[in-house]
Amino acid sequence: MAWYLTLLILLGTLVAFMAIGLPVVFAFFATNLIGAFAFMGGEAGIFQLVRNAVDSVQNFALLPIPLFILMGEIMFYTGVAARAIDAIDKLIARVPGRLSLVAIVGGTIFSALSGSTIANTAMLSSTLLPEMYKRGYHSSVSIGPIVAVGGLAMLIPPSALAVLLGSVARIPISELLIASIIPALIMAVLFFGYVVLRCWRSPELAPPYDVTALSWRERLTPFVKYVLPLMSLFVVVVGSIIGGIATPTESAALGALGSVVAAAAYRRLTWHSLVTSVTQTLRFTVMTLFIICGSVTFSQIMAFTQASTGLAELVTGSGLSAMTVTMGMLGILLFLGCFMDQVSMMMITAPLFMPVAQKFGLDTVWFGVLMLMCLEIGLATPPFGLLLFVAKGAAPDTSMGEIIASVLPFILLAVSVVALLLVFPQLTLFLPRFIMR
Amino acid sequence: MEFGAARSVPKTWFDRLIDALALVAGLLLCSLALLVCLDVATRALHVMPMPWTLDVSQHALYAVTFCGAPWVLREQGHIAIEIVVERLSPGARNVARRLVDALGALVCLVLVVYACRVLARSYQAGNMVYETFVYPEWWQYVLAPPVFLMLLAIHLRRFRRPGTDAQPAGAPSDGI
Repeated sequence: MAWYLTLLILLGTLVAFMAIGLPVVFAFFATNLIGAFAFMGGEAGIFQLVRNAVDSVQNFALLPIPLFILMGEIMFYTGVAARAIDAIDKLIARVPGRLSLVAIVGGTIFSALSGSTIANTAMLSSTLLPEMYKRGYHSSVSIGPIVAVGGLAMLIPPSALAVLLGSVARIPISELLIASIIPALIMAVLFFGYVVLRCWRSPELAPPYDVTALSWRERLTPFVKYVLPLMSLFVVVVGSIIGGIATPTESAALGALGSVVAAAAYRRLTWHSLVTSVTQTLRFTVMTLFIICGSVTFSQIMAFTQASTGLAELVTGSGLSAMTVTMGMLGILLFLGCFMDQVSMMMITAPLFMPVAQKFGLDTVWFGVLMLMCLEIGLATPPFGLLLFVAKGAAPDTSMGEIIASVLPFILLAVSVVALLLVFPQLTLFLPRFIMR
Repeated sequence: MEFGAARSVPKTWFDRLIDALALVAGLLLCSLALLVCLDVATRALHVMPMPWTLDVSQHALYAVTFCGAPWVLREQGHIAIEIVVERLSPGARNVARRLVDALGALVCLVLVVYACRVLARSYQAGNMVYETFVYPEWWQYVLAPPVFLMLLAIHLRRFRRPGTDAQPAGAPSDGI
């Protein structure tokens, strides 16, 4: 059978199973059972599928996923992160859109401590949204920045999804983690600038209010006490990778242990918070890793039937430039992001996109960061962006339409950063090359 | 630890088995973090080398995934894309959900059969795995058949008695 028919059948079957509401993992299993039987030698293919399912998660490189998530969950459920936000709140003086700026700064800092976008968004929503509403903040400068900055946890290390992408797409995980830092910071700065500009031009969006007058000492002390020590966790995680002291897995374990120690040091660690953190981590971990079990054979079938190489050769032979093809692949990711979760998107697109990227000689770290950014944008794109629902949960009285409208400008800003990185790959590659050389 | 506390239906022995496996998965997850930290520490201090950490961690991660899978399925923690289903009438939605459970059960049935056959083949072949420890290859495949069987049972239970488990949140509510 021609490779494109194989590709169409497999993708069509997968999409059909997903569309009727079959959980993603079983949609992958079902498609792969059909694909393995049809294209990989009948029963032998199914035997291979079962072996793959068992072998796929016996991978040391996947271990940072639960550990990075655990870091964030502990920070969130022990209330350590909320206290850090409170400290940042005291630090930022009376400026237009003050609470929105607290959300952006706090969210960026928490992204450096957590591998979970949901924990990040939920923490910002629960700590800042009630106060924002009380102060009469418009959703465009309250929910918008919270959802936008919540997704940064996917880019700034420790990032569980960066580890997953590195593992699935065979991109060096350490380089991918480090390369994501500058793009994420550019995004945060743009969000910050946008909020300042909007609140300056339309002060009614974030009505100014009297902030309790504090001395510099009163403002700095909570920051030094509750934020700086936490930043040392980021230094431990990223520093140990950069310094070659630990692998990403080991740095993740140190980070997870460090977050428990930090929570204990702040006297916030309780049995309940610890159990809740582990339970949530287990839920996300099993969900993600089981999808890997179910989907790993998908890429094998693609390779076995020449579908992935056929597609790569078709694209390279089409005469399109590398830039056009890259934009096309990123466009597909942005489109899928409207309907699909990030793990499924990765598992479907990585086996198809990576051979194309390699054929065109694209830097895989650069391309990986661009993929991550599009996946991150997908967290907030309507109608099914995951973080939109997290925000809706925190603001039940706000309509979904208003939430989406508040997030759209930030999505545009994020897309503009993707465009910037497309044109200037050095922005992405500078840091890993400088550090890893 | 209380797994599945949100459920309102009385727990059966099967639910308790699912909870017990989830508890094992949770404890393994915590142990993994401690084990890797200990490995880094012992390596840095040049005491008590633990070369087996990598192999043990990999197998433990597999055990975490498989032991936790029935619990996540029961708690509706697996991502499902319900764009189409949500737009159906309540009756049609019910039919679609039962169809999904039937399909899920069918997939799990095939996986149970083939996981058992892989296990049997591996046992008969008598192959050994040579890592830090040497052990029979079939050990790796022991978890898969009972876990797929449990997943099959959960799907069948939902098919027979819709609403037994926690209901879908109505949105892709899980992710990282």
